[in-house]
Amino acid sequence: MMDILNNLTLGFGVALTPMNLLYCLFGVTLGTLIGVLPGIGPIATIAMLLPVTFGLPAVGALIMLAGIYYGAQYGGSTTAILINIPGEASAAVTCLDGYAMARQGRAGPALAIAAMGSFFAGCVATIIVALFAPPLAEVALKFWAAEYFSLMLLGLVSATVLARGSLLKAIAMVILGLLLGLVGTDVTSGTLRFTFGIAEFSDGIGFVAVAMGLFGFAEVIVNLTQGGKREVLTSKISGLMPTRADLKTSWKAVLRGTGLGSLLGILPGGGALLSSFASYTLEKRLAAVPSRFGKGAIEGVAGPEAANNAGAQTSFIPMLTLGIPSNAVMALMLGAMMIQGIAPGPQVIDKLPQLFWGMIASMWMGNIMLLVINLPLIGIWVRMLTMPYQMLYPAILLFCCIGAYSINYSSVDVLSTAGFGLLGYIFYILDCEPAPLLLGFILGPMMEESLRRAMLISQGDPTVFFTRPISLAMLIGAALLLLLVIVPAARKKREEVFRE
Amino acid sequence: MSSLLRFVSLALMAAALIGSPGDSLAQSYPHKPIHLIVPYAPGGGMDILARLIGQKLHESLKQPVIIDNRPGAGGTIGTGIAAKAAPDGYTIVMVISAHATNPSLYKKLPYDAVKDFAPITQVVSFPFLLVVNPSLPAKSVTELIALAKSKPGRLNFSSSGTGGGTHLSGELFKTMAGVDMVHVAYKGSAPALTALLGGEVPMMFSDPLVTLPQVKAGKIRALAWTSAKRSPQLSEVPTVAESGVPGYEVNGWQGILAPAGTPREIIDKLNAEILKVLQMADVKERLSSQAMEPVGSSPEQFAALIQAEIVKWGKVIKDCGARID
Amino acid sequence: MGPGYFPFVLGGLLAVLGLVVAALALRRTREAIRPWALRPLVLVLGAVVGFAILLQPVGLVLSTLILIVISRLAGWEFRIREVLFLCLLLTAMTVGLFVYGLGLPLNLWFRGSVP
Repeated sequence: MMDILNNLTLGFGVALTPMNLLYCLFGVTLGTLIGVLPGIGPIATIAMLLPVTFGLPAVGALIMLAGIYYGAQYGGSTTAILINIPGEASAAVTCLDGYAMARQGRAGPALAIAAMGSFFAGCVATIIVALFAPPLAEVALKFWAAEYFSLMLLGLVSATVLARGSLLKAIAMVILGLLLGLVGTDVTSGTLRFTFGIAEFSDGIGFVAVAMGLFGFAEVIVNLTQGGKREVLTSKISGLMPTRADLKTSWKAVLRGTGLGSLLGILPGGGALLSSFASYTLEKRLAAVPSRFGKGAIEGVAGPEAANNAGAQTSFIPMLTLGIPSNAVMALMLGAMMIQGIAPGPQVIDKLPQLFWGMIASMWMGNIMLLVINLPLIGIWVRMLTMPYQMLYPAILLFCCIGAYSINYSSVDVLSTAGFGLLGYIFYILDCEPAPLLLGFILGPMMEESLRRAMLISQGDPTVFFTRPISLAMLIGAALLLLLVIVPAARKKREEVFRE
Repeated sequence: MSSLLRFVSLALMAAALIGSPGDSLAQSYPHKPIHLIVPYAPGGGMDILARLIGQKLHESLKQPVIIDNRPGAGGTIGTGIAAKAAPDGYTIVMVISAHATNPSLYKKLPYDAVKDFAPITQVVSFPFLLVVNPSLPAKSVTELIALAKSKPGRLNFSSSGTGGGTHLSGELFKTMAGVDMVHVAYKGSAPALTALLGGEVPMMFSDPLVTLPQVKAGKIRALAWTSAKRSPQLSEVPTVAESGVPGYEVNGWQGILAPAGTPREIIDKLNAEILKVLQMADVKERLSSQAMEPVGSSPEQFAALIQAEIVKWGKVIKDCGARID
Repeated sequence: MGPGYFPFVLGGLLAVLGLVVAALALRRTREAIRPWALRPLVLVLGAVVGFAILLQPVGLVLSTLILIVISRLAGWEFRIREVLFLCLLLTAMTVGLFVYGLGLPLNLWFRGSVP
């Protein structure tokens, strides 16, 4: 205990120096801006700032880059709520109920609860990182291919919970998402699948293209088809802050989201992304009236936002304790460490405690700064919504195009986004929901890769999924969840048949 | 003045302009920023090296060297863009040893790895490090080979990608040591390292940049270097060749190429400047801490290396059947 | 279980699901699908595709203008003054924010020698 206090004192001593506070402020502000701009993500920004970090002190540089990363999570939910475009991959779920709330004139409360939930989750997760980083990292190492597969399967089954309408259509969308996720190079064999000779597809279709096209472009087209008659972002704004009732509904969601996100975030590769989807599913399952979801249920914003921010903080654990980056942004930060001459690895905690603890302390400072920055901005965002849509949508399209282009500086990404815009519109016409497709798209490749790898390592023995305890537990969970979903649906169908 | 005099002075001026174009070209180069294409994502080891070199070149050439990350398709997208760039010396590309293996892995490339480029210099060379998880009961390569022979087809090794250096080192080892091991591919060095640390896969021919810190922290055990000579980073660790597989040698490398047709003077100038950078003390120190050895060869030597590597790995790839198509 | 296994299984599942949906549809009461609106669809996507194709050869400024004009045509009212204002404002914003502010390597005008 004393040890932790000493370390925290050291950390705050580092984080609270004026220069480091400035780096933190700059980082989170830039991160928020980047998160708001659709398509441009922390990866592009950090990559552009790498040369700058040459000249900065190591801790300061990392504080700034980390601030950009989790600042982008805050900003990403802003566009998700306002214009149905997830600025960050993990904000995709926030689109579902957040945008619905905005359409009802409740963009303010949605944005506010997202910020507050994120803040709470960020603080709790930072404490978890401070106290449990090394043991949690060891837990992450115990996740082998079989566990990843079972986790993904659990996630996929929960996709059916995401469905608002027809269960069959939702399953079909998930499968379509899985197929789209398979585009690219197969890890195990090196075979190119579904790339049609286009080199840019050999690493898969970008998530940004899919999300921006399906959610963003399609929404723009749909709004235009109704020629202004659709109450787009209604001008009657009913209050900027969440009501008491809102807070009462959301606080448990925030708690659960924080827990989920903190746990899932430690898994390298997609943990943080999965957490927001998992939280949404959990909230919908636990809600008294699940049909409210998709139409502006505030827990559908509070939970996932808390989850993705908690996940963003805990995803630092593998990087800080083991030197293993959990995602592309962390990889960039490791690169920044290497530029500084620091060899990332298990010895960083011991040899450079001021780096580790300084970063943790500044994560907490960063969360505070983000709350302070974002809450007043809500008024500005909401006022922007009252602009006439015809002025707004060309700007949306333009920023999305540039954002898509900035991923790889390739026009293929912009064209893909347009293609998914077409697909999104077709889904609208056919009344199919894009959310399950998105989940399938994310989970599909990871699931298949884990399945084949688990079989390869176990020499073709399929019982490995059941003999390993963590994997078995998740498979049982998936089976239970499946039953919980199918049984009521089957019962409902029987009632329908009876009624007919 | 008389027309004869005017003619002579014009002729002299023309002669001065035409004569020794090489000197004036090399002297005026570079007069605008140079684009260094990096065909991989920012932040990775090869990108960091490119940025380091670019930074130093900026200082010596007095013109910015802009790093242009064009990742994708195993480096072929960025390399392809460089192949089509104008050969005026303002676009160059940094490649890694994958440049020599891609021609054998891919059925169709948008460029010819040899004909479309004019090599400038090989920047660094680095060995791979054979590491194992401490749970594996093998403390040397000889013990490893014995273990592998005792359970053929049941010993796994991980790699950071099919067709990459970490994979092909293992395939060459299999052929030369006569063992049957199973290759388990991961998407990148981070998941491969995670698997190694967690014990999911017991061994890896790893990139020392990634595994040296882990070895030094005692989390994994280093068995051997794949180079011909031991690296000073871990001088007590033998090479594969000294521990039971004579003749085994694998070196990863990074080098800089220009599009074919770039003027010789520009290539020579870049070569000289990069050599100077590689001799700077801080650069040497940074490189050696990552087990990289500065090379700075001549364009001809680099071209010869590329050719030799294409042939060597072409055979390994054909034997193990790896392909990306 | 090679690289073709998963896609094949998934494709098969999808085909089966499609048949089930079609069969169920034959039995149930008819439910119209929403009507197509070709004009906004073609114009918006056309604008985006145009931007994608023109960005590198023709430059950011012109591509932006083309995108704004074509996408505005998909709106319900094409007011020249509004469109001009948008063109000026958005072009200034994107150039300022993305090229000078964030330093994205976007060429403003016609392409030079760098790809």
